[in-house]
This record gives sequence, C-alpha cells and structure tokens, in this order.
Amino acid sequence: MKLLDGLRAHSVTWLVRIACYLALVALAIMVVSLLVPRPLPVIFAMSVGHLIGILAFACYFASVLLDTTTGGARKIRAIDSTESGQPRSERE
Amino acid sequence: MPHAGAWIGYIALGSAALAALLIIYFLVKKPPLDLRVKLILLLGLGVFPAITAATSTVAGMEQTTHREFCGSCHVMGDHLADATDPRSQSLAARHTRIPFFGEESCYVCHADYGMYGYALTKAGGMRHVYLYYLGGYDHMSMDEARRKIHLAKPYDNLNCRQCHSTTARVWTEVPDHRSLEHELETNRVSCASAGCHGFAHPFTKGPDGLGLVPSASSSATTAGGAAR
Repeated sequence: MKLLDGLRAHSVTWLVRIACYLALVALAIMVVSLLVPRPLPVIFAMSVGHLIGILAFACYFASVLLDTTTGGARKIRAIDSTESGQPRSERE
Repeated sequence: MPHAGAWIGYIALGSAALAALLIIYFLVKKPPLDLRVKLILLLGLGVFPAITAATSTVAGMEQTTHREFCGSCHVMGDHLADATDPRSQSLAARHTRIPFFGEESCYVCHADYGMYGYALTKAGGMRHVYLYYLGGYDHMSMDEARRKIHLAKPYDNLNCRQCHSTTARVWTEVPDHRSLEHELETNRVSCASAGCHGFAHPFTKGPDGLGLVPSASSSATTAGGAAR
C-alpha cells in the first residue's frame, strides 16, 4: 500500500510538472502568433497551441484528482488507525 | 469594420506573462502541493492561459482580415502593390483608398456575407493556406501566379451590393444596369467585368481575360492546379 501511495504521490508531482512544461510551450506558441501575425504562426497557435494548452490543463486536473483520492484514502486509514489503535491491515 | 482593438493583444500578452510567471515560480521554487499552490497553479495553468487563448484567438482572427496578412504570401504581392498604389485606377486600388475599407480592403470585398459568412470565409482561407504550403503556390513565380491563381468561384455581385444598393437613381438610370438587372442578380454578369466597371485586379488579366501569357523567364509549373 505504501508503494502504491508513493507511486501516486510521484505521479502527482510528475503530472503537475508535465502540465507546467506543456503550458509554457502553449503560451510561447500563442505569444509568437501575436508577435508574428503571419498565416502559419496564427493557424499553428489556434490549433496546436490550443491543443497543447488543453492537454496541460488536463494533466493538472488529473494530478489534482489523483492527489485528492490519494489524500482521501490516507485520511480514512489514519482515522481507522486512531480508532482501533492499529492499522486496518493488521486488524484484518 | 468592427475592430477588437490593439488592447486585446496586450491582454493576451499580459495574461501569458502572468501565467508564465506563476508556472516558473512553481518549477523553480518547487513548493509542496498544498491547497494554496494548487490554487496558484489553477491560475497559472487554467485561468490565465484560457484568457490568453481566447484573446489571442480574437487578435489572430482580426489579423487575418488585414491587407498585410493577405499580402504576406508572395503570390499576392502584385495584388497588394496595386491595391496600395495611390496612382492605380484599378477597382481594388480605388476601393482600398476608401476609409471604410481601410486596412481590410481584401477582406471587405472577398468575405462571404451571410449568416455563416465569417466562418465560411475563414474556411476558405484555410484552403488558401493549404494550397500555398502544400499545393505548390509557395514555389510559383509571379508570372505563373498571375496566370494560374484565380478565384475559386465567380465573384458574387452581392459583395458589391453591400455598399452599392442598386436602388439609387444614379444606378437605375444607367441603361445597362436596367437591361442587365436579371443577369446581375443571378451573377451571370459581373459588376467587375471588362465591359462594365473593369477588373478589380486588371494586371492578372490578358487580352482574352484569362490571365497573362507567361513570359519566357517564368519557371516550370509546380502547382497542383489552379483555383479558379
């Protein structure tokens, strides 16, 4: 269980970092389209730029969901342990 | 023409800068992912980028209506030069000098008017981009471009009638207008034809009205086909 939690915790950090890098790329593409308003940069920003931006936010959203579920499970286990004086796995 | 104004571009740049600052702060400082940091990241990864995306799209779409944007592909160079030539008497040049047309004279004349006009015009613009980069237009010489690149469909007189209502006495009193009323209505005769008000871009037309004869210096054709 600890290993799974550890993996989840790392996934959250990893996902947020990926989201940050993707968002920076998307922002750069959109800014370039504003500074160089020629056909290719503008079209690229409106298609690929937006797609990367959406992907960045999806990664962030997934990380928050993952963090919330992991945090929730951790809290339940902590309450169980407090009530019985021993972890649930040992009681079972 | 309605303008979103330059301020929308500044909003896009400002929100992009704020988003980048928040993201870089997170990446450099590496704070623990508590509620406060999650909210900061919501601003940096969600709110500000969304504002940037929306405003940059509006600014980008506005840019696509500018004459300089249309003329940024080299095959449109002659059209741009003629339209902006203060001595030119072509229909395009004379209309470009009207303040209403201003910096958007290509768009005002060539936009599809109607319920889905804006979207259809932009879809047509995507076709131009495809033809330019993948259809061989980018390798075309100007001579080839003048002869081979044409409107995809006959110019709609309705576009002229956005300004020229055809109900004023100065219009109805012209015998040719009266006799050709049905033909003009059904686009069988173009306002911008040789016998009427002349071609909008006459330098693209030869004596037969089908385009200039290529000069000896013009290179071999690489285009996939003309877009008449």
